[in-house]
Amino acid sequence: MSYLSRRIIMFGIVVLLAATANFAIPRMAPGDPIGAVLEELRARGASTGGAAEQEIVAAYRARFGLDQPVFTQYIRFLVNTLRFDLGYSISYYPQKVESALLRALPWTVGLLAISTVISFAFGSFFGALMAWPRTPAAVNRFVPFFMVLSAVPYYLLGLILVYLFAFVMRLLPLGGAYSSGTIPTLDIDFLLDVIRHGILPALSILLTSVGFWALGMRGTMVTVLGEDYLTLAEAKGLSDRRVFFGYAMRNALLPQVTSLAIALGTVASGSVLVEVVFAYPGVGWLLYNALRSSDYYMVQGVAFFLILTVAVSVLVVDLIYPLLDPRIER
Amino acid sequence: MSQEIALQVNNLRVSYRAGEQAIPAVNDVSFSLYAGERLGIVGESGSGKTTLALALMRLHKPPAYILGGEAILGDGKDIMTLDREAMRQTRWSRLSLIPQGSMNSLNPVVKVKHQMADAIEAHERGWTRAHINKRISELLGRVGLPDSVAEMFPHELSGGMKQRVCIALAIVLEPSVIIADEPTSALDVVVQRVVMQTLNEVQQQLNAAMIIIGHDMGLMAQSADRLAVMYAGKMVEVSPIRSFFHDPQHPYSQLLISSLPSPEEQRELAGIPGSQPSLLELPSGCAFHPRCPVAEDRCKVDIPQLRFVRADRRVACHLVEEQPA
Repeated sequence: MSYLSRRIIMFGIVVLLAATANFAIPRMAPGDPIGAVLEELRARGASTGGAAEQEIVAAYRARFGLDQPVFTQYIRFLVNTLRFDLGYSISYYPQKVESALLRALPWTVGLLAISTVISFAFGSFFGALMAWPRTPAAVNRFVPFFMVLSAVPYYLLGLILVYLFAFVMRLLPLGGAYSSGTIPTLDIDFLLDVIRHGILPALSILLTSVGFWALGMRGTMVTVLGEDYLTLAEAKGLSDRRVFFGYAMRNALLPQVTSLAIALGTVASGSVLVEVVFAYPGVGWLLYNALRSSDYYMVQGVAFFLILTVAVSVLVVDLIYPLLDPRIER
Repeated sequence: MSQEIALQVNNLRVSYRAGEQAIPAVNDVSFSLYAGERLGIVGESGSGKTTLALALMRLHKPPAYILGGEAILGDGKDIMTLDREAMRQTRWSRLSLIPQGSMNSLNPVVKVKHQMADAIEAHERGWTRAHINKRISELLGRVGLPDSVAEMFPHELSGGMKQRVCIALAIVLEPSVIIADEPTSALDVVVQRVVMQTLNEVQQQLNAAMIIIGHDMGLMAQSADRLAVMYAGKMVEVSPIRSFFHDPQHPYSQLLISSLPSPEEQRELAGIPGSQPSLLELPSGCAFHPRCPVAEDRCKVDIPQLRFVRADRRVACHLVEEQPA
């Protein structure tokens, strides 16, 4: 079987397993969704129980297909999931989960994916420089700085940044993705507003993750610098620049790219707290609110979506990797 | 063999820094290398062979550093005093290297073709793309590889093929000196022989001088014109290959030869008693005296200099008499 088809089948299996878990776990939990809603209604005094209530429950069970055998439910669930029909949000009924997700997604991708990629590029380059023997000694003074920063949790740094730049100095907005009252359009003013709101959350992710990339790169770079092909590259009389980029960095980047795939996959879930700290309307914020309001379908939808992003980014990197490293067969 | 000098090394000293101490890995080494000749350098592990090879291309890495000496190329330039850019230009165009452990000497993620092309491009010969490609396939042909190898990645080649690529790579700019650092130690004996033949052929075609470093005396006997023996960072004997095997002069060389099996006579193989001294605490006088069966008192005090004992042989031993040719 070819490399490509193996990867795609693998991807299919991961998605199927994710969907199955997504189906199974809530059903294994005690209680049922209708009961939960009823519970809430009772608490508010909106339901009095009795035969009428039984009827309503039965109607709702039929409506959500809960009266069907489990296997039928499972197949129906899979079909819906594959059509990206993730059901209705409980808190925002009758809004669909997928439409809420799609609205949140651009913010998360825009903020987190971009800052992760910048952090990766900058950190890897800096890490490579730190290992390079002809780098000015001054560069290496940043090593402890990176180490400390990579140990600081990003949400903590986020809080500090908000306090300093937004609360004390009032240079930047406290939170949100754009000023309240503005209508999202595609003009320059709105774009600048979005960038102003994005600086602090992006910075908190950048500063805390750049050290991770730099230190990882420094490690692999040191190994690569000891390789025989580096001695030969230098013996060939290649320029420093050519040896650095074409031989040393080119090879040291390979394991970094694998880490990038994983990092990009977990970007959406991993930075829930950043979105919470900055009240940034992305997928993490959505998940946070869904959890707070016990919006099961939304939580389920977001969870499935996150697994999907991890699987997609791993698939993308798997497909790109043979181009970077010919030793991996296509 | 012409007497035109391709490389003249004088009093080269390379040390490794270890804390406060300096470990003399190459200690006052001088030799001449003539155009078209093959000089073998043998010695035990740690005797300074590879350090010498790397220092000649100024590829030694800290903590190694060059303490002094000169290495003068045929055009009169001293490698040891070149600035960085001039050194870069000199590498590969005048001096090339066939590295130890060629298994990992090629960049694993770059096609053979590009690894050969970048050596040419680095030296700004002003060749066109077509010219470079033609040169690459010509060189691959010369080392007995098909054209298709140019488009391959190193992991698609066998060990012998990789070594041939390294040989082709070493002659891409027609250098006057080729340094082969254990060029065949990673190969099995059959491949070793073929690769060595290829190497000798291309070296002869170029009339380049070649330094072959290794510890395989059989290989040296077949390939080298002259042999230099290193012991604890010093050269102790430099001789034409035939006279070296027939009539070794230095006691260490004599023990070395008697430790080799010979097809002509059945005898007990003799080892050399003791082991190489630590470079940190070299014995006084001749570094070999604690292991030397014929050492005298002066060997413990005076350091013997490498001197001519025949017209074409130099030995560093007090006990070897000079004989007029």
